[in-house]
Amino acid sequence: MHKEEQKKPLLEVRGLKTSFFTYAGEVKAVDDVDFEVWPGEAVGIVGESGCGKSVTSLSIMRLIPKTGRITAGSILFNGVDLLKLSSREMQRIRGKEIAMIFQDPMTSLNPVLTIGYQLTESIRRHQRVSKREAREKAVEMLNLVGIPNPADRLSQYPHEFSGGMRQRVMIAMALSCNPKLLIADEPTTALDVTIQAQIIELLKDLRSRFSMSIILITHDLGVVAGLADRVVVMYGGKIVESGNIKDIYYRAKHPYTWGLLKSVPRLDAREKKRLVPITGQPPDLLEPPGGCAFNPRCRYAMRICLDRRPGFTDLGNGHKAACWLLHPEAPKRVLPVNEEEQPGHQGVG
Amino acid sequence: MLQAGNLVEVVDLKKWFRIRRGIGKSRVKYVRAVDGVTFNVRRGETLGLVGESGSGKTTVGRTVIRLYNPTEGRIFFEGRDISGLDEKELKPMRRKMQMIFQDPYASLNPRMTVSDIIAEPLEVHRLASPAERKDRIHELLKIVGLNPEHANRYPHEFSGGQRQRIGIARALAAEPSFIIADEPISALDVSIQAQVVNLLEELQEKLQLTYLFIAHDLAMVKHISNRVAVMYLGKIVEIAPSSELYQHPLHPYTLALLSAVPIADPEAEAARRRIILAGDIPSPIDPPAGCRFHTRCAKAMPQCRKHPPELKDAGSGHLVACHLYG
Repeated sequence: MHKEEQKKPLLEVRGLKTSFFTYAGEVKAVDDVDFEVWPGEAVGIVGESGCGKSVTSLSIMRLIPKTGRITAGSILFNGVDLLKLSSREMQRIRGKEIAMIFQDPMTSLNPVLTIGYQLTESIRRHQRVSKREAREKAVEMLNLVGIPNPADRLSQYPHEFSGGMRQRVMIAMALSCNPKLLIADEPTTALDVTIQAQIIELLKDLRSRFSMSIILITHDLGVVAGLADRVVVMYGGKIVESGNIKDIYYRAKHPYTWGLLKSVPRLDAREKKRLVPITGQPPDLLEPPGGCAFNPRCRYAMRICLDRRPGFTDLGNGHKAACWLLHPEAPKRVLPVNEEEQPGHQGVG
Repeated sequence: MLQAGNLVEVVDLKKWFRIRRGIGKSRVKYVRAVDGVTFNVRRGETLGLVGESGSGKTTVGRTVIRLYNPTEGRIFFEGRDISGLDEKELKPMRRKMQMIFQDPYASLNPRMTVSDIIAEPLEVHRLASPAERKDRIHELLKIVGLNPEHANRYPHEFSGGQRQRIGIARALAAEPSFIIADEPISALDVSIQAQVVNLLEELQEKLQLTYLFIAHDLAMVKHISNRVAVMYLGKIVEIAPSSELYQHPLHPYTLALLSAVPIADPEAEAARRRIILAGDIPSPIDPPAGCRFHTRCAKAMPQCRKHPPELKDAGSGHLVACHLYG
């Protein structure tokens, strides 16, 4: 947001590579990813299943399952490289400085412990408070996330809460230690659309109240449009485009970003247009295509796209994209998404 | 009662599931999954059925195709009442009504080859002689955009989108006139969803199919449907032509539902006013009396607590069940 005033990003991910080692071979789930999150900023990481968005967030939390390993890169949080911390030091950061909420509120709470126990446990783990103070704090947090009768609800078990309420409990738990960064991994995917709207409004409200940074991981471009300041688009373990929200939605330069935007119908569309799907299948990360990972599905693919991985082209204002079409020697192609945005071009053809 | 042009008519359909609760499971209760819905599907159209989880939309689909026996009410298919038919009488009807399921991972038998999966309806309904069968399977695979050479592969060798195409080929094998698609794209990745939706639209044109398209993705339902029915807690609250429903929604629930759908456009999102519903959908075991939505409705009046509103025409085929209108 205020990049000039606050010179240091809160989180800087540099050259991150995370691989899983399977019998079939190495799967490069995250392959050389760079991005940063500024204080108070909400960054959306968008992509389809298998693009590496969740593994990126688990790498930040250092919660990669045993078969995987972070093979290169650094993750600077407030200037400290999280990858160099001992697991003990990392535990102090996890939950207190960086908190995470997951997709499935049904399975991320312990079914045999009361909500109150689980909430006060996380509060007392990171803050030196008495049991009573922790309980008061727990009531305050449940109240904050909009759960009615919080004091009574503390003695109840997760099964007595609905899906939306459980996600609120998860958010209360995540926020109970005033984290500087909240990572929300598909926080509304398991919820109905009216409940999703409640949770998004809650996240927006809490973010402005606590000036917390948010990383929102999702496949839903609509959810990102309402919440994020900046968007990172991932494909096949790599970032293909990133920029502020308007550059991504209105001036997308990567054919994949364009494809994502065009393949979903809009609720406010006046007339029916045929959807423009992205042909083919997402890449097999065991045998990723050479060159640009998107080349088998890209209708603008050139010969160089098959051989060499494109570097980022800086498009100004923090907007960058990795596509050979942006190379000065590439043939000039106007992506249809940009064509429509230009007034005067409408109705032509 | 039957109007020309209607392929399916559903009249006051109810489906209650019996459950046992309490100590020794002594108390018998009913989940009123579908509690009196009336609608029709016109020949060649796509009727969208939307609602949140627990609204009963899937149960409607499964009861209409008689996978469930209706508790009450009638289902007419091509003018014939099929609500009381037994299995034997149903078999020829089943050929004309096919279903596409949500989960392409669970709805295909992992131990059968694609060719066997698609051949099954051909065998059951004796639609192709063994000699013709292979050609027909190849033809079906081509129709849904799969390589006929892959007929001898197993489902696990295919991606989610391709599996959904296999499910569609299986449904088409019986040469149906009516297809119920229950959340056919919600398990698929965004870029693949559009492929499958476009395929369904092409097939509808080519084979003159009629669809009941059940989904919770309102934008996609709007895109594919000619008319849309909105369900809440076992009842239809509103039915209208697709563009009419989205431009002039009448029922307070429809309004809230539409306002909750995120739009992939930051400026449009910033300009929107959301109607945030308080609380959760009540239990279908003890649904609220009167209008079922009154517990969450900002415009609820005293009569809404007592009398359930009926689905009435508010003009030009726009039906709404709400006391605010008439």
